[in-house]
Amino acid sequence: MVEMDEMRGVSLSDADGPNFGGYSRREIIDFLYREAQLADEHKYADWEGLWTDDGIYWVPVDGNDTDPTSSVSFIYDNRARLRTRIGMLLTGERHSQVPPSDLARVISNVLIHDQAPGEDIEVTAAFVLIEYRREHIIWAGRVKYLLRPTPDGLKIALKKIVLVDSYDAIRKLGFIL
Amino acid sequence: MTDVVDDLDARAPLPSIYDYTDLIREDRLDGRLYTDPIVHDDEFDRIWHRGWVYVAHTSEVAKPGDYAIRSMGRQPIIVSRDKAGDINVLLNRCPHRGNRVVNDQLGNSMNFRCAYHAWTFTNSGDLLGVPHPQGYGENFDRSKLGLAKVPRVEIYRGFIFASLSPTGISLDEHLGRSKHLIDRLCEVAPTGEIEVKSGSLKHRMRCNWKMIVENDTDGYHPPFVHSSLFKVSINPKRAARQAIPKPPPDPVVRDWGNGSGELDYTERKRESGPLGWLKRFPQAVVDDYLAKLTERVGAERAMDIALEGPPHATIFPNLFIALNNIAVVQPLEANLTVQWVTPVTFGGAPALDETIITQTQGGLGPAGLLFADDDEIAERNQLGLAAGNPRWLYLARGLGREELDESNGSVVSDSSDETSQRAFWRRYRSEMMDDSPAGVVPDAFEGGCL
Repeated sequence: MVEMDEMRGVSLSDADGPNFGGYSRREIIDFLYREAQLADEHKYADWEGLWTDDGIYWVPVDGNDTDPTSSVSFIYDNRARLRTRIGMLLTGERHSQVPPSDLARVISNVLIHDQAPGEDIEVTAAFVLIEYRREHIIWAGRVKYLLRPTPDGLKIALKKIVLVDSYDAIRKLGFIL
Repeated sequence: MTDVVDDLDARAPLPSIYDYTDLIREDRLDGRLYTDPIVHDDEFDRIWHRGWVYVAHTSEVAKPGDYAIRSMGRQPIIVSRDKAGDINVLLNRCPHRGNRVVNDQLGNSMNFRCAYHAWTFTNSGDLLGVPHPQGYGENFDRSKLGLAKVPRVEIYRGFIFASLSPTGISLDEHLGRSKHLIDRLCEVAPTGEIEVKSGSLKHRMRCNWKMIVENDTDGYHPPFVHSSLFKVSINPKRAARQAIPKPPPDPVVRDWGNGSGELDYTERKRESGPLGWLKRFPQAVVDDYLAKLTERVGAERAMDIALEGPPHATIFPNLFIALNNIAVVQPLEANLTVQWVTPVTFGGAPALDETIITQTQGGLGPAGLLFADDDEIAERNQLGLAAGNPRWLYLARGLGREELDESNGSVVSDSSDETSQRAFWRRYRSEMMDDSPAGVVPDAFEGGCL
């Protein structure tokens, strides 16, 4: 059993112990659920509060392996641009989210990867999100997070979302993925 | 043996039930132009499958063997570079049983093999071989069973245009004055050549393609549709400046003829200093850029180019040059369109590449701080047009104050005026009214009125 878990990059043998930068598996998963809920409910300011100052919010084009400095991404926000994006939503005049889309997302297949002491915690997951905006729109993909333990709790240093249709044309993306 | 691949004899479009001079008036448009599937079908016959359409840039298929699959209207095509280095535009359909032969968006291969029965073609379309050819008898003539070629292909400064009609106006006649818009983009590169090598944002919108083209040079909407960006802009002074209309000469909107329109804010760009239209760069980057550009065009011209940057303009029917971006519309249904947004980088100025990519993904594409909102407005436009009364969209803004700019032959008006939209519709009407197989030379310039 232990061998299989190690092959998956997960240390389940002591799953509930505080082994990931001082956080337990349960706490990390709860953090992801809370983040998802804030995004679904359009609590933009609270959601923005989950980020580190050097955070990167990234939705690549054409799969997982593109270099964001030489290839265009649907989103590649540094902290300043993310602040602009959130600020626009907070004006109430970001038409692509007036009114806000109704959203519900499910996160699953959460794997917490082993990391060296002091490094960000790498977490991968899959998600399915239904947007309702005049019609049902399905979003799905794989997510990689880098989570950083800080004196104020866990913060997101990277959220990379590889959509299943990243090679294709996608609908407008005004909400928080 | 009888030819299987049609020589694509010039075929006249089917007669339309519509009189487009009735739907398109000087100051108004019939709403059905955006919603009616019959109009949409007429457009395939008369514009997308007859006239010149931008299909790709040569740098996207830079090396022998490179290919990309695209579409012209409803028809799937392959753009490939063959062994000799020449560009081929082929219809992506096996002449045997009709399978789409090439399926990867981009790739490199000297041969294309159909997955169905393994018919194999060179990347310039010749049939190399088929399994078990003896089944076709003695008269089997491979030379007649290649991939069909798009009959006319012309390249202007790396921009590949193609026409599915074997006869008709030249690309030169199609582009007219709008050729210089491509020049103004390419001239920004120290080498004089742009590069398309950084991927595309593909954006699916529930609206008619023409709304997107019209909006591209609409100078009336930004303070309203993009107010949220202006409100949080890190540079409130600049935002305020952009929100307040200024009198001509700048910014202005121009009708270049041939269906081409420009939102021209050259003077405003000049105020931001060399390369300021892109970003405020460290002086060393600016100096290096100017030095390289000076080698090709001289110091004075180099400074003008650095100050003015590329245009913000559309070329009929599907190409939009948005500063350092190319956007292309691909019509799917009357109410469904895909827009490709592609950053353009400049040969000889790699120091600008990363900034260019950052700017593209910031403003444009489906998640763009600008385009996501344009999308929402366009989709609501499509919903509103389902109402049949009033019959018309009102397109009269600025009709009384347009002037001929004698320095360059364009018709110019206040940036908020609908001059560039009228330019589009004048060209559109002449294409849609034309029943010939070949397409017409656009009307001589008549001073900005339909």
